[in-house]
Amino acid sequence: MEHSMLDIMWVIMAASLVFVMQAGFAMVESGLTRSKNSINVAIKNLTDLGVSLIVYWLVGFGLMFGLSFSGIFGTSEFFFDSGDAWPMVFCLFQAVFCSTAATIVSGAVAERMRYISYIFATILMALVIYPVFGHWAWGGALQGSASGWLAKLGFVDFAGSTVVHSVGAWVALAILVIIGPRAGRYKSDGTVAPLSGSNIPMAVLGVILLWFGWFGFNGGSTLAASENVAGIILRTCLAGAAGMLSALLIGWPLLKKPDVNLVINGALAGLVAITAGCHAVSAPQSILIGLVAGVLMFASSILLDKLRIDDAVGAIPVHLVAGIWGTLAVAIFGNPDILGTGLSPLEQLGIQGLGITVCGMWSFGVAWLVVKLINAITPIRVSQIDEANGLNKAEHGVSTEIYDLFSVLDQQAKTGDLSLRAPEEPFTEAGQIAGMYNNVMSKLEADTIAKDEYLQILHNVSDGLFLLDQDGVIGPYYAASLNKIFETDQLAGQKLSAVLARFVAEETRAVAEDFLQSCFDSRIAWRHLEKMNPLLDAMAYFDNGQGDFLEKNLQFLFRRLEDGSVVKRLLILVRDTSAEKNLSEEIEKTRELGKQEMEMLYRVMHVEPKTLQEFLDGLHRDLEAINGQFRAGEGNVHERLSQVFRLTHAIKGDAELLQLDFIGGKAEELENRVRELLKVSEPGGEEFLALTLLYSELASASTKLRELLQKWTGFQAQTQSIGFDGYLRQSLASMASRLASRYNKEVSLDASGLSLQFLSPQLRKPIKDILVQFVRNAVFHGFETPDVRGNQGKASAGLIQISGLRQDKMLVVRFRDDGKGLDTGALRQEAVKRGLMDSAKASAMSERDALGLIFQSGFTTVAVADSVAGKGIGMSLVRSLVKETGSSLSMRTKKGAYTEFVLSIPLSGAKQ
Amino acid sequence: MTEVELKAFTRVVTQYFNNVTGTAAQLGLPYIKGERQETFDYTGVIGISGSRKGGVYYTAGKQLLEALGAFILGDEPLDDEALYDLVGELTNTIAGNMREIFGSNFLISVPIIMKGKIDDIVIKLKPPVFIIPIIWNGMNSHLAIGLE
Repeated sequence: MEHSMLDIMWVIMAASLVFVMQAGFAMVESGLTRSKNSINVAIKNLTDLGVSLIVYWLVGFGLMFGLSFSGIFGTSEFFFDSGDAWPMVFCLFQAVFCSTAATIVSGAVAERMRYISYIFATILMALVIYPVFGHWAWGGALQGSASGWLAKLGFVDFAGSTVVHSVGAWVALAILVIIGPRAGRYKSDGTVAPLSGSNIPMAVLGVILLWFGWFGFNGGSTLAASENVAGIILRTCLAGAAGMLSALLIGWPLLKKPDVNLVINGALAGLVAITAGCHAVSAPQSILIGLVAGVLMFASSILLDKLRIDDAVGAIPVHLVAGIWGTLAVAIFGNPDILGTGLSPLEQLGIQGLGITVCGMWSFGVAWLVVKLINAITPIRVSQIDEANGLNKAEHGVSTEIYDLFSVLDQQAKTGDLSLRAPEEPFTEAGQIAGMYNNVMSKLEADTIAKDEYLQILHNVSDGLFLLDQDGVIGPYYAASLNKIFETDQLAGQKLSAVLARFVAEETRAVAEDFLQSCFDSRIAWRHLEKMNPLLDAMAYFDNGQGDFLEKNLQFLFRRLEDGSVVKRLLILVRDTSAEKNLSEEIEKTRELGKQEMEMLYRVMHVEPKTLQEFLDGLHRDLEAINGQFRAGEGNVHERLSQVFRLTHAIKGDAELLQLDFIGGKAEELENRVRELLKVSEPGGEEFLALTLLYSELASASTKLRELLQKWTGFQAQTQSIGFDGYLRQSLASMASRLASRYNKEVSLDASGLSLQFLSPQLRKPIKDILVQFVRNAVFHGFETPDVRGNQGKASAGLIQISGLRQDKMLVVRFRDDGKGLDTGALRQEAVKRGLMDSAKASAMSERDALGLIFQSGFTTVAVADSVAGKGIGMSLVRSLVKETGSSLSMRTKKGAYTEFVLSIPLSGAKQ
Repeated sequence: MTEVELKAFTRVVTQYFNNVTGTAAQLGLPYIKGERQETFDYTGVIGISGSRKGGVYYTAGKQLLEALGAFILGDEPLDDEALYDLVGELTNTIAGNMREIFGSNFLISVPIIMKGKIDDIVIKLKPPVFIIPIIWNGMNSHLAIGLE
């Protein structure tokens, strides 16, 4: 068959258009996949173009269009080259067809198949699967007469619905069955997770490019610039448009939205379907073919998901299902004259079906066997981690700005680390988003830290702190202590007025509600308003569910939080002031009680206690008898009243005798009331209420008086029982114990043998004062600490013994401590140090004189004085008192053993 | 306590009997509670706070409550739980009416109902505790009032 230059030019142009379809496929497939895989998909498209072109030129073209071996495969034209234009352009045209078939696979298996595995699949396709089947359908085209066995049977596939599209899709299906769905595509509950495409506008542009390329795909398949080309291209366009419309019309109502895939894949399905018979059908038939293709595409998409076959871009519904339909449509709609097979439509349909079946068995079968084998040797699927991270990074080590941004967001979502920041790639859209995102995160981080600190404060502060909004609702964050103060929890979101209603008296709550409203009215000056705070000292009553109340004093303090002139919130501080209030009330009550007792004491102090006690005993008996008459429950009321009258009268008389007017007056009131009731013929219980009240007042006065008398007589009894000696002994022992504790020492004091009671009061005091000084001196200077005493074999507690012995007209008081004794050496050194004498005189001084130094005013061996000792006053005072009382004092001491004072007091000043 | 307040308390109880049964209750001679326990079979206690502090209890025997229950619930036999409910209802009514008389700052607790001899009631009542016998259809019960 001769070909004109015009034919050659047209086919070159058609090949160019088919070549452009590669760009369309790249855009559709990368646009419909996620951004983390988009680069990988695009690179696979480009790779399969290059690989398939080379492999097809090397071997595929020869297998497909070489001289046929029994109609099964070609045997010549390998490493194809020719000096003529037509064979070269024919080879070019067929090579880009092969690339088209190969690139269909990349979209279907996108987002999970390893790059190297995909290259193997492309080689398999271009080397064997496509050329062999191509030979069966189109073999002999180069030579001008059909030589493939399928073609000889009458199989018609004008531009490759089956030869190109179905072959590619069958291979894709075989790989999909082996490789499985993408992670997360199908949920356990059977639903399908949408894995949205990264760039739909680009996918749409890709479809338009494909559509445009189809002009060459179908138009060029005439292999001549004939008059049929125009009709073929028009019918191609119509079928594409019809496919898009039918998919949309069916899918939109069912999916409740005009899904992007419906538009994209509907158009492509129509184009694929018309490819087989575009030369032999009418324009209306092409529309019908396109319409059915769109519906089949939509239905088969749903079926695939039901079968959990995850086709990432819808390649199977578009290229396989629509391809099968288009191939069958050749028999249904194709003009037999144009088809020229000489077969009836039914026979044609059978042959078409045979061709489809054979295509499936060959393409799917070979692909499944080989890929399964490869997969057994080395997995064709990427690892789970690589799939999660995306194939851009995993397979090619490249990334996109948007992917980097997503990675940071994903990391942040997983770890909660607010310090992470997205990379800010300059001059990119994603970089600008990252920049804005980082700004937001910086603000959020600062706010979160601030909030965290705020919450820490709220958690630990002892007072109840919270915010109240304009609706009177408590804010979400409040001091934990507020729950305890309000005896409740879950306060956030509750209206404060409702909370207060649970424990504040109604009147107070009503006023508080008005006050709170006024707080939000910025026209009212705060300095005036805050003085009207009704909750500044509020009583709160919490029903404890035990038939009783827990009472608290609460102090509410308010602050306005304003935004301009609008009061947005109130900052409220609640303090539980119960302890302070209770203490204050207790003090007041004690003071009042003391006052009442003093008043009562004035009223009764003229009565001799024993007489008063006898009166009160009688009063108590009479009152019990009166109450008994009321309690009796039975008997004549008048008789009982008469008895009460007699008893009351007796009380009144006794009280008057002792001039206890306040008792007598109350008894008289009760008596008068009884007298009135006696006049009533049948007095009822209600009339008795006033009587009972008067009785209770009298009983209360009696009780208070008895308590007072008990206190008074108790005090008297105590002082009389222990006497002066007992008091002195107790006081000295107590003082010794207090001082010892102060200096971390232990002391016991035995003064059982001491009696000063017979001394005149004039003598008692100075002698007592002398003993006080001895005790202070012994505890401070004399005793060692318990551990030192322990080391010396002494008892840990130092012992003070005080005794008194009357000898003729003298009282001899002996005071002895078992401390460390006086160190006369130290006393001499101190005297020299103080400049009282030179060292020679100090050394020459007798022991007696050295001991006498301690009685000198201001003399002390202590470096630092305190309130007890060290000033050199105590023993000087002793000397004065000894002189004042005409007594004499002697002392003995032994270093490390004891110090003893003997005080001889003349009894001339004594009582006896 | 004043005579007016005591009368108000007693009228709340006597009116309750009158309203429910049509037979007014009579007051016995009131007296001051001593150390002796003064409760019957069932006792409802109300704590009082706010303008006054202390408590009130109403105590009645099983026989009285069963008779009173017959007026309210018909002739259905009353089990122990129903008697509890009845004392609770009576105490609640007393408490509610007292609040009307003494004003909104007179706070009354949710009543608690007890059975048998109770020792700690006196804790909630402030002495002197006034015991007011309430006699209805010849059956005795007590209203006890102890407020500061």
